[in-house]
Formats: sequence, C-alpha cells, structure tokens
Amino acid sequence: MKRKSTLSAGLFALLAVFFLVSSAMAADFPARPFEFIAPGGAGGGWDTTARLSAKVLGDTGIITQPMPVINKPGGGGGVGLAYMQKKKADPYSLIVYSPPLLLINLTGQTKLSYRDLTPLAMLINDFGAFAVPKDSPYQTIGDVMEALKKDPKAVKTGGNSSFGSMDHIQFLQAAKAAGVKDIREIPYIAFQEGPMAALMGGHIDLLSTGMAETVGPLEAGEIRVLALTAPQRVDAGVLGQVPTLKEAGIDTTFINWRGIFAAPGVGADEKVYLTEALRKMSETPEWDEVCLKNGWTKAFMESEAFAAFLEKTNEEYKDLLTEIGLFKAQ
Amino acid sequence: MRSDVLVGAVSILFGMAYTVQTLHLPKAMVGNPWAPLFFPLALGVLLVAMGIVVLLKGLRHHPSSAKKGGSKRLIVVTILICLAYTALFERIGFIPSTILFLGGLLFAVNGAKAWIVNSLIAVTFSFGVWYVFEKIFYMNLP
Amino acid sequence: MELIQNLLLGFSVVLTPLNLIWMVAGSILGTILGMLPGLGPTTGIALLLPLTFTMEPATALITMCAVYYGAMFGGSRSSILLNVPGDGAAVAACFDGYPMAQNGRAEAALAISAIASFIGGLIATVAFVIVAIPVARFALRFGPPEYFMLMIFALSATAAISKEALFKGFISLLVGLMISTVGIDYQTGVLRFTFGLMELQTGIDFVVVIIGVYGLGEVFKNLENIASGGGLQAIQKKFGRIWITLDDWRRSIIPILRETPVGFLVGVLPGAGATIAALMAYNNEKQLSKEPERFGTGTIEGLAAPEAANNACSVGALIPMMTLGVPGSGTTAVMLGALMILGLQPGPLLFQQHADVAWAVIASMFLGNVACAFINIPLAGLLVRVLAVPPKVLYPVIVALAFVGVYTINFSVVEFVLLILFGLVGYGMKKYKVPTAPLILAVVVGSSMEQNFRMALMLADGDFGVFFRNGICWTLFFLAIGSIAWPFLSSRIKLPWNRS
Repeated sequence: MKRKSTLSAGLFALLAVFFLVSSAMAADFPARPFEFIAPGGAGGGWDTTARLSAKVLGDTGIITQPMPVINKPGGGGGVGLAYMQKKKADPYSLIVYSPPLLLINLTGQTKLSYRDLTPLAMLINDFGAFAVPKDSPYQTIGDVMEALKKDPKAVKTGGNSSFGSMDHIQFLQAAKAAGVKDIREIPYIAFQEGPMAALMGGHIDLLSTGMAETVGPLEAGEIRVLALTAPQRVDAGVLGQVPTLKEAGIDTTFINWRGIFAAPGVGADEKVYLTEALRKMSETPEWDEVCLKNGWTKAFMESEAFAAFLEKTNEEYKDLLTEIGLFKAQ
Repeated sequence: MRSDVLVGAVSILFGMAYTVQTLHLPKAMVGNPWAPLFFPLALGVLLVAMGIVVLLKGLRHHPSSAKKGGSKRLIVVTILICLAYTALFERIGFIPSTILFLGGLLFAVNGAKAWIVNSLIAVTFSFGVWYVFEKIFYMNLP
Repeated sequence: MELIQNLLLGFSVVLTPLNLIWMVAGSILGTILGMLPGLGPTTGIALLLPLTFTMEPATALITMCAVYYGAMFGGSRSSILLNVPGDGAAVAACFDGYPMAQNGRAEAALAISAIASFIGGLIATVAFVIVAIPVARFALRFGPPEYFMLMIFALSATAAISKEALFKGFISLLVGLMISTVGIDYQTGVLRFTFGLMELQTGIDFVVVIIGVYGLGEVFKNLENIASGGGLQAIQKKFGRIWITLDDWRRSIIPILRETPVGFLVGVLPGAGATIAALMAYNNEKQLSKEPERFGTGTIEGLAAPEAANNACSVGALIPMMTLGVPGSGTTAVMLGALMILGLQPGPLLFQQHADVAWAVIASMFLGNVACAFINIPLAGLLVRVLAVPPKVLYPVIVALAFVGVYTINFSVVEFVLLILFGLVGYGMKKYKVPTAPLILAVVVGSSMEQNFRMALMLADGDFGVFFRNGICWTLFFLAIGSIAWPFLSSRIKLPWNRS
C-alpha cells in the first residue's frame, strides 16, 4: 500500500511540473511539437511532400520543435480536412494539400472546402502530361483535339483515380481551351492501378497523368508525350523537348500545386511566423536539392497570394465540373 | 438443418436490404445513369435467390439434433468492451484507452483473481506497442 | 555467358559489408512488419524513404527489396499461430496453417512456410533473370477485358473450395462482392454505400475484412468455448525443432514447384496481386489433390502451395517496375518513387545505364531470400512459444493486437467498428458452416472485376465481343469453365494419379 501511495504522489508531482513548464512556455511560439498531417497514405505525393518539408525544416534548424508526420488518409483527402476542423485555432497542426482539396468539395465528396483552412504557403508546382502509345496516329496534341472536335468519342482517354479527379480535369481543361464542344462526351477510363501499362499495351489512346510518371517510358521510347500543361518548357531531360499546351496553340495551363495549410482560425502572429518559416525553408539549398531530386518546380507563394490563387482556381474547376455535370453545390 | 434455414433467411433479408439501398444510390451524371447500379443490383437479386434456395433446402431436411450452442456471455462482453474502446480511443489517447481495453478483456476472460497478471500484461502491452510505433516506426498514435 | 557476367557483377556489388548489413536489417524489419496485422511492405518502404535519401542507390534498392521479401516471409507467421493474417497475401496460410498449429504441428507449419517461400522466391528469381523482358511484354497485352476474364477465372476456382456447400459458398461469394462495392465508383465518381462516412469513400480495406473474419471470428468461437468451461489448456507446451519430416517434404515439393510459376505470372500482371496468387495456388492444389477433403484440416501441401506462390508473386511484381518503369502494385509504386528520388529511372534503360545497380538488385534477390530463410527459421522457434500461453490470456491479447493493427491501415476508428462487424460475420459463418474463402477472394477481386468489365465495354463502345477478342481471353474463359467443372468431373473420371 505504501509503495502505491508514493508512486501516485510521484506521478502527481510529475504532472504538476509538466503543466507548470508548459504554461510558462506558452508565451513564445512554437513551444511544443507540431503535427504535420498528410491526408493520404504513406508513400504518396502528399506524404512525400510532408515528410520532406518536415525534414528540411528540422535539418536547417528553421523550426526546432519536432514535426512528426501523421497520415490521415481517406475520402480523397476529406478525412484530413475533417480532422483539421477539430483543431480550430490550434497553430500546431499543419496539413499539406494539392488540387484535390478543391475538387472533393466541388464534386460533393465533402461539404468542407479550402475556406475551412488557413492557407500558409504554396511550395511547389508539378505539371500534367498527355501521352500516347509509340505507334499512335496522333503526332501532336492538336491532332488529338481535331479528332475530338469531329467526334468526341473518337479518343479513349484514361488516367489514374476516379472520374472527376485531377487527371480527368486537366485533360478536359485542355480540350475545352482547344475548342472541343461536348467535353462531357469524351470517354474517360479510370484505372485503379497501372494506367501506364494500359497505355503501353495500346488499350487506351491517350493517358492523362503526372509529368514524372512519363519520364521512364518516354526515355525508353515506349510512349510519346504530346504536351505538358506547364506555363513554359521544363528545362530538364527528355521532357525539355515536349511542347507546352500554349506552344501547341492551346491557351491554358494546369498546375498541380502543393501547399501547406494550418487549421482554421489560427492567430495572425502564428500565421506570419509559419509562413515566414516556410519562406526561409524554400530558400535553402537543401530544399533546392529536394525539388531537383523529385522533379518538382519550386513555386513559393505566400499566404495572401495563395488564398487568392485558390479562389481563382476554384472558379475554373467549378466551370469545368459544371460542364460535365459533376458539380454539386454545397 | 437449422443452420441452412438461418443462413437462408439472413441472406434473403440482407439481399433485400442491399437491393433497396442500391435503388436509392445516386445515378451517374454521364453516360448511362444506371451504370454504377447494375452490378450491385445483380448481386442483391442473386443473393435473395440463393437465400431462397438454401432456405428451402434447409426446410426439406427436417431438423436433426440441433447442436447446443455454448454460452455467449463472453462474446457479448468482448463486443461491449470493443465498442467502449472505439468510443474512447481518440478521446483519451492510445495508452490509457488500451490499458483499460486490454485490462477489461483480461478481467472478463481470465478472471478477476489473476488481477496482477492482467494489469501487468495490459500495461506492458500498451506501453510496448506505443514505444514500437512511435519510436521505431515513427507512426503516431493518438 | 553475358548473363553469368552480369550476375557476377551484381554479386560483387551486393557483397560488401555495408550492403549485407542493410539487407539483413531490411529483412528483419520486413519480417516484423509483415507479422504485425495491418502493417505491410508499403509501410516499411515508406518509412525507409527518408533514410534511403542518404544511401547509395544500390544500397537503398537492396534494403527496400529486403523489406519487401521480409514482409512476405513474415506475413504468414501470425496466420499460422493466431489465425490473424499479417497481410492479404498471408490469408491462405490460415486455411491449413492454423489447423496444423492447432493439431500440434506448429513447428512443421512454420518451417514449411519458410521453406516454401524460400524455394518459391528462388525459382522466381531465376525466372526473373531469364524471362523478365518477354514476360513483361506479354503482360502488357492484358487490358480491361483480359483482367475481367482473369478475375472470373480466379472466382470460378472457389467453386471447388465450396463443393461441399455449393450454395452457401455462393452466398459467401456474393456477400464478398457486395463488400467490394462500398466506396467511390471510379468510372462515374458516384459514392456507393458510404452512409455519409468519408472513411468509406476509398472502400473497405480487405485487410480489415480478413482480420475480422479470421482473427476475431476465431477468437469469438473460442470465447464461447471458454465460457462453456472448455478450451482452458494451452495448445502446446513442449516444442520441437523447426523442421519438417521426410514425408512432409514428399507431399509438399510438387505443389511448391507447381504453384511457383502461377504466383510468378500473376505477379507480373499489374493489377493482380499476391493475395490472388496465393488463393489461386490453394484452389489449384485442392482441385488437383487426391484427397481434397483433407484441405482445411491442416494438410501441409495446403500451406506450402500458397506460400510458394505468394513469394514468387512478389518477385514477379518487380518485373514491370524494373524492366518497363511501370509499377504493378502499391508497394512497387512506392519503390518506383523512391528510385526516382535517387536519380534512377527504372525501365529498359536501367539495365544499360545503371547495369551495376540493376544486377545488384537481382543478386540481392537471391541473397535476400537466403537471408529471410535464415532469419525466419530461428525466429519461428521463438514465436512458436506463443502457443504455450493459456488461451484465457492469449485471446484478449489477440483482440488488442487486431485492433492496433487495423488502426494503422487508415488511422481511423471507423475501422474498429468494421472489425467488430466482420468478427461477428466470421463467427456466424464458422458456426453455420458457410465457407469463408469465397468471401475473401470476392472482396479482393470484386472491385477490379466490376471496374474492368465496365472499362472494357467503354473501350469497345458497348460491344460485348471485346471479352473474346483474343487468345488470352479464350484461354482464361476455358480455364474458368474447366475449374468449375473439374471437381464434378474428377470424381467420375479415373485419372492415373487418382488411383492410389
């Protein structure tokens, strides 16, 4: 019995000390570890971005508090978004997102939207690519669009993940800008895995995908990439020879941005602190190396500009989704 | 065979519920509006049909010796403890809730007499798993 | 003799102390991750990602592959001992592995599982060296119609599994397919049966289903036993050497050799997977067996076959990634990402531009399989002692382990509710003698089957003829018909090997 009571007394003292210490330190931010949320599974794009930016922030000493990455997958990112609502005004929870943040709201997968987060900074851009099999009759993206103008069912397009997701939208955006009329008629085949194999096997006519996925098969001459959705030519490797949509006479771009958000209602000081930390990070040589290795284009954009960008992009997606009948007003 | 009758009846009920749910699913915006519904509908109808076959088979064979079932007490208790764990897990965190969870299960199954062993296992397991996940796998538990 | 030279080059790269240490470390990590329900090779490789950043490309790749094989070896440990599959591919090890352990043959079960995995992995690696490129080319011919036929073939084989209870087996199959319809419909973006829960939009993870139906279902059955005053003795108190008898060898070797190519080929196809490979292998062996009724009661060939197949499958799955730069599974997709970070671009050019790395990986497959076997046999001697724990203590701990494992799949408590639900389903199925294997297979292939069916029709503008567009389709079709008819025919026709 005696042992027990000393033990509990000890525990109590320990707890008391803990509370004292934590309240004393609340004055300066950040005073305790962050949690960095990846709204997808381990190994995915969000997860990689979260892990690598947490690593650079830590390695360069910009943020000395630990930043463990937590995975909250599900609902195409919706589960992470719902989780952030529980952290209202808590500046210690950060989350990484990209275009699906807007899309899942517009298609009605979740009622929450980008407005339910505090945008901190955009970090990087990635771009889409449109690829065809090596023996495809289409030589340019213009050929594809001409064929679609004659018959919107003529080209079977495909991509990773579901109807109305990023791969689908980026192609529709290009088709619309090229003047294809019935974009909702264009067949889009959604693969759960292996769309590149399906393209190489000639099972689909055109694959809409991320830039990085095309590099290997392109180098090997297994596929041809007709266009990239970037605003200007990328300067690296084989993709440097691929024209942008603009060069091909289609006046549009599709940016797969990735940025960091905080929970809704975070205080102004903390917001400024975090945005500045991310700015400093994106200026380090360590971050340059991360971007280079992953094939990301560095594209820092601070909080206010990022918010404006999101609003503009959201409207663009909304128009497209309305046109194919996928938009659901919340 | 009592078991066939039961399996058949459950299948029919579940199949019907599933079919009704299917009919309430949203239709597709593009292409054939019924495209996402065909497969589930076929499954629902087939399940009801199979349920009827098994039910009839069960009714034709007259009940032989119905096997005496064991006591369900522990199963019910276990499920209740599991549900309590589900409710508490994210509220009070991994370690406290898991100690209570495993402790509760051990008390229920292993008996209150072995309380020393029970508490020891519950505490060691919870801290051990927590340590492995947080420190070795870098995975965060609530 | 270029082949030998290349292999020698590969071995010379791998056989440095640093690489060997990482290979062993990776194998151990993989084995542990594989054993824990819910965690698998994908998690392991993702964890290693920041670490591999600082490694030489060859070292990084060797480590990742080691984790991958380790997980394949480890997955079935918990299937055999606790009836809780460590991952999807290990589910077939529950069918005969767990009964073997219950019959007091845990040592043999653990041994044959490691041996079969080892042989399967080794043969598949040899096949990798010889036929990788042509096989990868062949795999590209599989489009949606071919995948649909493949799934039909996989499902039709369950007819044999449930020959004794044909209609109940069919019910089990239908329920499994129903489970697979939960979540977003890829082709239209429509949400099906998600009941407003975002966690269900990506569908029900089949690892939750198998842990529930097998692990928790078995616990419930035993709790009923305990509450009625039985089942108080530990299953086994004395333990022998982890090895198998000559008779076990004789029975297992043919199934291992026969099912390794099956696993290998299924692995090469992007979009099939180790679970399908293991279940197909099990079904095949049951159909070919002289005594199919012994399957499910703890027969050693019923464990050896799927174990060989799933390891062969994991080797096969590396082929499309390494030779074409096309990931065939979640794990290989993560590996591909890691390779690109390391500045390597997998694909046909990998073998030209970075021959040392490419052949080092192949050499590490040989050594990795040896390492895994060496780690697993002594480890099994340790693990088997879990059977000495009194059931009253063991079962609560299994329940807790199942919950923790399931949480790590999606980090959400929605999985807890599903786990309880599937535990009850599994318990009910066991009690009322509904076969569970069709349900599991249906959950695995269901979504892919439906989606590929619709994708094929979209590609062909609604022409059903697409399902018979080439020899692959016809072959799979006849295989499907054959496997349904076989159990009924084989008992009538006298086959040379049926006379005993």
